[in-house]
Amino acid sequence: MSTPVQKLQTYGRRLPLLLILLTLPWLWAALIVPWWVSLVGLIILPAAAAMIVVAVFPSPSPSASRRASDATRLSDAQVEKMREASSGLHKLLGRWSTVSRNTGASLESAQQQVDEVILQSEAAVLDITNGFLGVTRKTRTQMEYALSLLQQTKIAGEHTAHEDLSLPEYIRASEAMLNSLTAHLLHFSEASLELVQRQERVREQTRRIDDLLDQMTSLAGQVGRVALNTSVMVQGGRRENFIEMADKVRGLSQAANDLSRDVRQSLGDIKEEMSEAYTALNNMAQEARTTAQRTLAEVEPLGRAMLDKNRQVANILDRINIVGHEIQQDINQIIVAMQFQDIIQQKLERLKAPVLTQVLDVLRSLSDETRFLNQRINPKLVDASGMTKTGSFRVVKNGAVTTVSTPEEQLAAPEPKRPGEASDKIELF
Amino acid sequence: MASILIVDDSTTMRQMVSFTLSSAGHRVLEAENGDKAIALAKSNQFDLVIADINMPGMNGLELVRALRALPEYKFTPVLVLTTEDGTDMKQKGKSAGATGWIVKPFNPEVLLSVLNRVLN
Repeated sequence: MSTPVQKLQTYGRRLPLLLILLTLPWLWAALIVPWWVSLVGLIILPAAAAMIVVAVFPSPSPSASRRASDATRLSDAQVEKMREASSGLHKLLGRWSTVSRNTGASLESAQQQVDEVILQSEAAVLDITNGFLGVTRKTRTQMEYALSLLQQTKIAGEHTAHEDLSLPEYIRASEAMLNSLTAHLLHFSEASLELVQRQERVREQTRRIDDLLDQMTSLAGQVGRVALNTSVMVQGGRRENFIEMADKVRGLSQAANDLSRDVRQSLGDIKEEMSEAYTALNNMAQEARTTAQRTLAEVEPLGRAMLDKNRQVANILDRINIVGHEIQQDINQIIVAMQFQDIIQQKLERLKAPVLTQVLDVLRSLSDETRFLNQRINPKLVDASGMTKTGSFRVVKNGAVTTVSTPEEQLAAPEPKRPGEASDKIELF
Repeated sequence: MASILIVDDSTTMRQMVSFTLSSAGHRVLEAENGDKAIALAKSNQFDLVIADINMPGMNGLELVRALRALPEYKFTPVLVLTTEDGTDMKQKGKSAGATGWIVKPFNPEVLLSVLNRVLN
């Protein structure tokens, strides 16, 4: 706050002009008022001018006058220019402060959103990783379940009588049993063939007996004719005829004896064949019974085991199906997590548009203002863009000196590689 | 099996939706923006269109309006798949002619269920 004397000193050069301006209405009034009023008016004119200066004129700015502390080697113009620059700096700092306060809130909000985006990204990556790990683990479980059918691996909770046998072993056991059954059937078939041959031989013997019986019938006819001839000869009474007849009867008797022997022989053969056939049939029946019992003994547990194994296969397939369903759920989870890339991108877009763009605009405006001020303060050391001609400059912050690059230098600097990013430099020989 | 057009500027999203729908046996074509979608819609007859809202150039709502302007897509179901969850936006979508509104991230099972409901 300046004193009236300071104001009068500051605006002293303007007092004559003010007096002239105030005299103009006095001149107009002097023509119409009494002379003594004009005289009083003339006398109070300087006082009125002084009062206007003191009461109406604003306090002089620092640049309006030199101070005792101002260096004597500086001209008034230099002092005034420096005061203007100082005033500009004050205003600029005030604006910087306001902008910092306003943008601080925006940046805080932006930071929160960025934190949220980072958290979401981490969560999404974690979800994807867990999903893939889950899929891998469950696929391996499926494979183990499938392999357990082929290997002698016991599945937790499975306790069957033949749990130590694998599926291929069951198949091999079934195959061995079928082979054994086939061998037995083949043997029965051979035995049956032998029986048929024996039956054929019996039939042959029977046919031979038929022939022998025919011969015996013929022999009986011959005996009848001899008997008739004998009765005729008896009526004739010739001795030589009796001898001839006796020879014939003897021959016929011999033939009948031979035929009887042959028939007996054939019957003996038939009896023997029948006996052998009976023995063979009996043996075959015995063998068939044994085979059937043995097969039954093998088939029953194997069938039971196969049923158990089928249940086990169904159970494991059910588990594989459940794990497959879980894998599908994991894949769905991965799909959901992978969509966060798009959501994050849109969040960043929203963040970029209203907040960062606004902050960027304000900072750009302040930068332009600073550059303009800088140019005004010292045009010799500043180029057209407002940057110092020396390029990078030093900033002292908390006692540490930091070199700040110009935008051109920053553009020229190589971009840092992100971790895991492949180099784009290719060298061909 | 339906013929479906997916419109989204995000490649990941297109791939995710495409994977989900293809796995269910549908025929899927993709477009990265509204203009390409319109071109594909004119050269093919789709049973369903799934579109994002926030896309460069023609946005999803404009795309829905443009599709509804085509005689062959006057009654074709158009689902909006977007991160936008505001009531105003949903109302705008409905006014534009969208059949449904699905908020990202979508669950594949839910998407397929909605799809079957809309197609039937």
